[in-house]
Amino acid sequence: MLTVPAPDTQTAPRVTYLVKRLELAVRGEIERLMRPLGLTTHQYTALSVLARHPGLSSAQLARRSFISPQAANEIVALMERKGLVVREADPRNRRILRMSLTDAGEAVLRAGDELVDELEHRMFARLRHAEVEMFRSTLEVCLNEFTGTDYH
Amino acid sequence: MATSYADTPPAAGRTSLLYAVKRLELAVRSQLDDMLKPAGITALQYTALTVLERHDGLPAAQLARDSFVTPQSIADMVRTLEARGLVHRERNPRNGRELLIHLTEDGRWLLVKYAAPVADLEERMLSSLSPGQVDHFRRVLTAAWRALS
Repeated sequence: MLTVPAPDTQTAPRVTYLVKRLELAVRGEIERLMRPLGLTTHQYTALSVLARHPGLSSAQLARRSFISPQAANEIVALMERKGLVVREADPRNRRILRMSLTDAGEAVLRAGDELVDELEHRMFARLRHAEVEMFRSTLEVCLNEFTGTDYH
Repeated sequence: MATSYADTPPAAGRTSLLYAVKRLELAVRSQLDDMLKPAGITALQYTALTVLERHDGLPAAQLARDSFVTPQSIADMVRTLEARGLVHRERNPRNGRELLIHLTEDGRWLLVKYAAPVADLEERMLSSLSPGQVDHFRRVLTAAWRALS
């Protein structure tokens, strides 16, 4: 991210800066796309994560959605009021509440996914398939330098 | 890599590119936050200082745009950096009602101190890639960004 090139150099901006810039543009775009669906970006991310991993606790959701536990609690409470998720006590530990999507939650997520598909398509439409695949693997390689493991 | 997106179901894999960009940005930011902790500033604050390094004496709104900070949070950030003695505000000589944000000597010193570690972070991220792959990565990151703007 960061770093605009130093003033005395003519070099290209840092790659980390380009990554940050792109991430920010994507975030803004998703925010705009989700507004008509009544979702914030965080809520959309939380719904995607829950669709992939039903039964998460709020703390687990926070970790996977890149938000703080407090923020996750607020998002979950709000989405529960809107009827998008339900919480049920874990049969093995009644103090843990496990979440899943309702039908309404799944429907709004599908609508959101379609919009994000279109967004992703728009971003890479001018590139060849092989270039997109190389980009995908480069992102993974870079990420692995920091995490040391594959994420999934 | 055992975990290619090819073996995730289409519904789960759909947004994988955008998700991967987000994960990488987050990983870089967290590395930077750790690195900058001894200096008592965050990655976002550091970014703002590098913006001032490139163009000293900016109004808050401009600094917010270039540092990827919302106009709402820039005032807080500037106050924090000012309290740390890293920036100071001065009246614009050409427009007395406008305050411009400048780096202090301490701010400049901090940038000098962290220039090498931050460059190392970038180098580490790209260490497994050939120069051609890095060029390609830059091109796609820029093309995808342009497609949105």
